Parts: sequence; structure tokens; C-alpha cells
Amino acid sequence: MDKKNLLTKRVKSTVYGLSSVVIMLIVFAIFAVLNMFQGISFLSPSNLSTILNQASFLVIVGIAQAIVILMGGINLSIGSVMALTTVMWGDMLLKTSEVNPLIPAAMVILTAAAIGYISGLLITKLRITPYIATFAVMYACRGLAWVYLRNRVIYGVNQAFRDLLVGRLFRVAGFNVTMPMLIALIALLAFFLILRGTTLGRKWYFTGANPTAARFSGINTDRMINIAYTVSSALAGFAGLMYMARLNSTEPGLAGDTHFEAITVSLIGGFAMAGGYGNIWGVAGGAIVVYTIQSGMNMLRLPGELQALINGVLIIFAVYLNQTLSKKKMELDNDLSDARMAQRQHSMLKEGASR
Amino acid sequence: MEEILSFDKISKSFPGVRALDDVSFGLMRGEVHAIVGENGAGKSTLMKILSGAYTADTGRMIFEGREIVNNSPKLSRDLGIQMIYQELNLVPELSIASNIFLGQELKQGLFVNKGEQVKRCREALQELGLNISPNTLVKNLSIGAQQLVEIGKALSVNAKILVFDEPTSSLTDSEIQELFRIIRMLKARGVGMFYISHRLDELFEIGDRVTVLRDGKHIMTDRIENVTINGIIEAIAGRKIENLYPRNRGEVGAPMLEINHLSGEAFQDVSLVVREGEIVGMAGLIGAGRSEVAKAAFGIDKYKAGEVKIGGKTVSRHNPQKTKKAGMSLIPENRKLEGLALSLSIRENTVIANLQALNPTSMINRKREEDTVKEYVDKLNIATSSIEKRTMFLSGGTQQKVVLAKWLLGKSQVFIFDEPTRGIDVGAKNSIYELMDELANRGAAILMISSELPEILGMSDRIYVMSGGQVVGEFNASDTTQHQILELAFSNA
Repeated sequence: MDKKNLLTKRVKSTVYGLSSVVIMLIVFAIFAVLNMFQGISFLSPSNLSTILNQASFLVIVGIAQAIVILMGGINLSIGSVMALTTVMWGDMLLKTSEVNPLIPAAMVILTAAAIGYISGLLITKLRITPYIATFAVMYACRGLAWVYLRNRVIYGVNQAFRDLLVGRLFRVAGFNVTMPMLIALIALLAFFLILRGTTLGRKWYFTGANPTAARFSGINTDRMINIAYTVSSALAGFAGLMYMARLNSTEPGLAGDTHFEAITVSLIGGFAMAGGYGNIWGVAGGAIVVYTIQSGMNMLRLPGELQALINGVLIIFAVYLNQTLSKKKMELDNDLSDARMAQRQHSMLKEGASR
Repeated sequence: MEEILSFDKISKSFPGVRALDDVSFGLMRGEVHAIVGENGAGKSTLMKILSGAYTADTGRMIFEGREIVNNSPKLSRDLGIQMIYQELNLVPELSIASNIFLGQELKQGLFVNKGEQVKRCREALQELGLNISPNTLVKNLSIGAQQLVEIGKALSVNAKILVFDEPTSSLTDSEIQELFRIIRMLKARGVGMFYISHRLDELFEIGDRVTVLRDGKHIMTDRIENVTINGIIEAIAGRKIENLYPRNRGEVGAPMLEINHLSGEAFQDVSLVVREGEIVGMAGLIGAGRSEVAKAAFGIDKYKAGEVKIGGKTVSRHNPQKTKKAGMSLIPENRKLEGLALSLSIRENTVIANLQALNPTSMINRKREEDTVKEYVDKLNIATSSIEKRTMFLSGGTQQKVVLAKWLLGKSQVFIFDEPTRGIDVGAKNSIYELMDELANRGAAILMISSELPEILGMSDRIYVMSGGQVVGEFNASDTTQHQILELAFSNA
């Protein structure tokens, strides 16, 4: 293999690995041009900071979905867990409440975690497939939220609590840096560390890639799955708090489509439905793409039905692209590694000859 | 008799394996032609080439005087070549008549002509001498009767060649007699039949000729009157044992693995013991229950009765985590499914069973991990350009070495190797044998399941033979023969 060929392969491999970033740039370009015709400045700092701020919410639910997709599963109950848990403890988070908001906030996350653990048990003990198990939990939670709150809306959230979750930090050159951005960044870093730097993350990847081999390696695969669903659901609870802070209210219908948004984010972010493959930073790219398209279409005042159609097409396109690219990337990396080996041997031979 | 089909110099290779090597023989009209050989000898590959599922690399198939070109499952069926598989291809919820005409329904205009189908089916069943209603649902039939329906299905399309793949493995004695009656009837009609079976005694009852395949090569074809059961066994096994098997082991010590009266779905009352410094072989045919015993002992599958002791201690409420901790390793039979996560790297696969031991704080120490993996890559001579290579890109032998590395990394004293050298070339085989020998030399107890008799005899100190889910014999390797083992392995099949 000559040097030029090698370089092409290296560049290709890098680009393929960043497919969600590439998709993101394409989407940005399309909307920048489209909006330009309408006389709207899509790439203005303030618009970009709005996009990043809103995308940060999707990062949290995206991570919640990505870690179960990594295990070869899926979590359809994310949105309804957000609704149920915030509805259950929401009254204590209002301005009118005397309780320290951190207590109900902790309860929201714990309740959500418990629901996730139940989903895990349905999957590991009762051997119900993840799709059906979380589908059932989704309906149960949504129903419970309606039964609990009836037609009331919980409104008027404690301001200090809102500032903590969705407040603005500072402003640079027209770009607002916000708490959600900071939270999303911390969450991405934390899960990057967990997935790449701990034995738990390694076992998650392995279990996702081949559950049978994982069992034969003495990994308690049931426990890994239970933990993944518990963490996924706890993150959903946390996202519920963020949504509640943003909307200054909550109600049983909160986050109706969030589980699907979360799936789109993970898939565009490069996670494979088959499990065992994906990079957590892809979730950030996926979240920005999904939100950009939503807001871009809103700015163009496209009707909702058309938006739904475009979203559907986009998922197919993104998933197909990612599948193809990730496979190509694996092959390229393999060629590159072999080529490096050959080069090393070659230079060793040359050294030997020159001596 | 006239030849209806002949194989002419058929060869077929898969990556790393020469499955068929220049195989030529023929099938007569009205002949029952038995094909025997060890697992992996090439029987199924040859039949798959005949049925069009595989394409031969070189060679020709002559059918009724004409070469079959561009064979496909459809073409072979149209020619009248039908397979009767071990696993039946019937739809349980449909009637016999609907099954027989599945995919080739008799039509009247747009609609299925049920009346005609039932009538034709009844005739076919009567022809086979079966007194059952064509409207019976298949799920209500015994396995034996289902098999006969399958034959009826083949006959309904006027089959000229039938291939039986282990037809009697799940039949009772009376069902076998019924099957043989029908086979004789088909013979009289001039249908040529290939008959694949592990039950050698059957061949003498029903076969006209027998062909032995070994390692993809055609060893012999002869009339059944001209051969003896011993002759066939020798032809099946007849490999010279080369000096492939190292033996530097010392004294045998205390029992390390004890399996007492273990019973499960696929095995009954299995007892065995493996001692310190000993390699114990476990011979038998595929389906004899050997892998099932290994999986139960390791805690993958549940068992109904009995106990497993590791290092003298009973393991209760078994699971792989516990047996691993107790010092046992299982190198599984199916490395792609059970051994490796193919999309992950050599590094990630090698350390997976010992993550906690390597990283006591649960935080991964990448440097130590890389050093350890590199050490084992060198030690086992794993051919790779990088430890980051995904295992899907490795050859079979190298993959197997990664699975071995994974288990050698730990502190195990008891090893079960299930078919450790399947599909691996001789050089790699030898290095795996050397590793096993070294392990035993250092005091490990090794149980080796293998379907290759030379390997069993070459490596083992003692040998258990399993057949039909039971341990049917125990030998010292020094005073037994391949013949003796094979005879026992077939005894309870």
C-alpha cells in the first residue's frame, strides 16, 4: 500500500467515525441556506445558543436511551417516567412549598430509578423482551400519572430551583452559556468515563455485543441489564426535572414523544440497535441534529404533518448511513492496523540491511 | 442397475478448511447408499452441494446422464432430488394434506382445491401403507409419523433421489421398522437413496452400498456384503497418530473436579472425576450430551440432580460467576457464539473474564491491561498486527487462541476444553496441545471434550466415553484403541 492510499484511508476512517458530526454539519448547511432565503440568520450566535441550549435537554434523554440501546435493548418509558415522577413529587417543588426542593428532586430521581429497576426485572426475570416490557411500563406510568393528578396542572416552580437547572450562566459575543449546556457536558463526560474507564462500562459493551459470550465469561448479564435500565430511568427522572424547570410546570402529558426523540438521538449518534457499538459523544451530535431540524422546520413554518414525515425519512437515512459507515470504519481500521504492521516490519528490515 | 447420479471429482473449501477433496462416487437407481464418517468428514457438505444449497468449487454432478449446471435448491427439487432432514420442515398447525401440498397447492382458478388435495393425499398415504386421515393436524402426529409425512411430501413431487439425514435419531424401534418398510418399497420403485447415519448397525439392515468419507476425502465405496462393521469403523477413524501430542506431565494428584450423578435435560446420572495434573478425554458423538455436561458443570445450564465439586468443595446454586471464582474455566465449543464478542478487540476480549482481578478499584488501568494482553499475545503466539484488532477479522485458529488467552489469564486450576481444536490447522493445534500439557504439568486438572479420536487418544491420560447422555465407559488411554472407543460411542446412540 502506498503512502497516499494510506492517508486516504486514515482520513476516511476519521470522517466515518464522526458521522454524527458530519450529518450535523450537513443539516446546519441546509438550514442556513434555506433560512437565508427567508431573510433569517440561522447561524447567528443567539440562534446557535438557543439550539445548543435546547439540544442539551435531548442529550440527557439521549444518554438515557443510548445506554440501553448499547445493551441491545430499548427504553420506551422515558417520557412517561418523566411525567409520572415529576407529577408525583411536583407539588413540593413549587414556590408555595416549604420543603427544600432538593428533597423532592432526589425523590423524583429515586422513584424513576425504582421504575427502571422494575423494567429491568421484567426483562431479566420474566424474560419479556425490552420493547414489550418498557412499552407496558410506559402505559402504566402514563396512566398512573393521569390517575394521580386528574386534570390539574402543577404550575409555578421554585425560582432558585429553576435557575439551578435551566438558568443562564454568562454571555459571550451574543452567545448565551446556560446551565443545561453545562449539565449536558458534565453528563457526557461522566458517561464517557463510565463507559470507557470502568469495569462496569466494559461489561456493558461486552454484554451488548454478545450476551452469550458474556455469560460464558462469568459476567452476571442480568445484573448488567438491571443496572442499565435503572440508570436509564434515573436519568429520565432527572430530565423530567429539567423539563419541569424549563416549562415552569408539569402535567401528566409531559414529554409525550420524548422516548422517540431519544431513540432518534441515539441512532443518529451512531449507536447500533444490535447492541455493543456506539460512542457517547455521538449523542451530542445526534441531539443537535434532531433539535436543529425541529427548530429549522419551525422557522420555515412547515406544517406539523410534514415535519413528522421529514423526521421519519431522516431516521431511515441517518441509521442507514451510520450502519454502512460504522462497518466501513471497522474494515478501514483493520486495514490500517495491518498496514502499520507491514510498515514496521519493512523499516526493521531496512535498518537490518543498512547495518 | 443403472447409475442415476454420479459425483465427479467434487471439491469444496471453506476459509481454512478443505471440506471436500476430489470426491467421486455414484448412486444407482433403487439403491440405498449409506454415507458414513465422523462429524466434519464432509457428508453434509456433499449433500448440500447436491441440494444446491452450496456450490462446489470444482467437479461435476451427472444426473440421468446429463451434467447439472448452475444447481440451486429449486433446480434440484425440480429434477426430483429431495432432502429429508433431521429437523422436520412441517407446519404443525396445518393438516397433513395442506403440508404435503404446501407451496405447490392444487388450484382451481384462484382457489386451492382442497377436495382434490385431500383425495390425492389419502392415496399417497395409502400407498405408504399409512392409515391416517389427511385432515389430521401435523402437531397431533408422533415424530415418526411426521417423518413419514415428510417422505410423503417428497413423493408427491415424484422424487427420484431421496436423501435421509439421520432419519432414525428420534424414532422408536417400531417407527424405525415402519420407515425401513417404506424405504424398501421406494427401492422397488427405483428411487435412489442416500442414507446418512451414525448407527452403523442399521446400514447392514437397510443399506446396499456404503461410502466412507474422512476429512473431506473419499476413502472407500463398497457393497455392504463385502464389509464388516470393524472395517467401516477403521475406515472412519483410520488416521495415523502423528507425533503431535506432547506429554511432559508428572504425577497425578488430588481430585480437582468431581461430577457426581449429574442429571439434566440431555444427560443422565453422569459421574466423573479429574485430578490434579491430569488430562481426561471425553469421547462420544455429537449429541451424546458431552457439551451439555460441561455447560451444566460450569453453571451455564441448570441441572436436575447431582452435584459438582471444584477443589473438593461442592458448588451450590451454581452460576458461571461462582465457578469462575472457585477456579474453573470453560473454553466453549462455539467460539464465535460463546467465546468472543466479535465486534470488540483482542484486548477487550482477552481481559473480559478477569476484569475485576486486573482492576480491583473498578477503574480500568489501561496500561496494565495493555501490558497483560501483549504478554499473552506473545505467549500464545497470536498472529495479529495489533491488540486493538477486532476479533471478527481473525482466522479461526487465532480466534481460538484469544479465547484460550482469556481463560489462561485467570487463576483457574480446573479447565474444560470443549472441542479445543475444531477447524484449526495442524500447526495451531500443536501449540494448543502444548499449552494444555504445560497447564497439566503445573498441576491443572483438564477435561477435554473432543470428537477427534486421535486427539483424545493422543492427549488424554484417561478417557470417558459418552453415548446417549450417559457415561458408557472409562479407559486408561494407554490400554485402549480408537476402535474400542468408537464401538462404545455408537453403543447407545
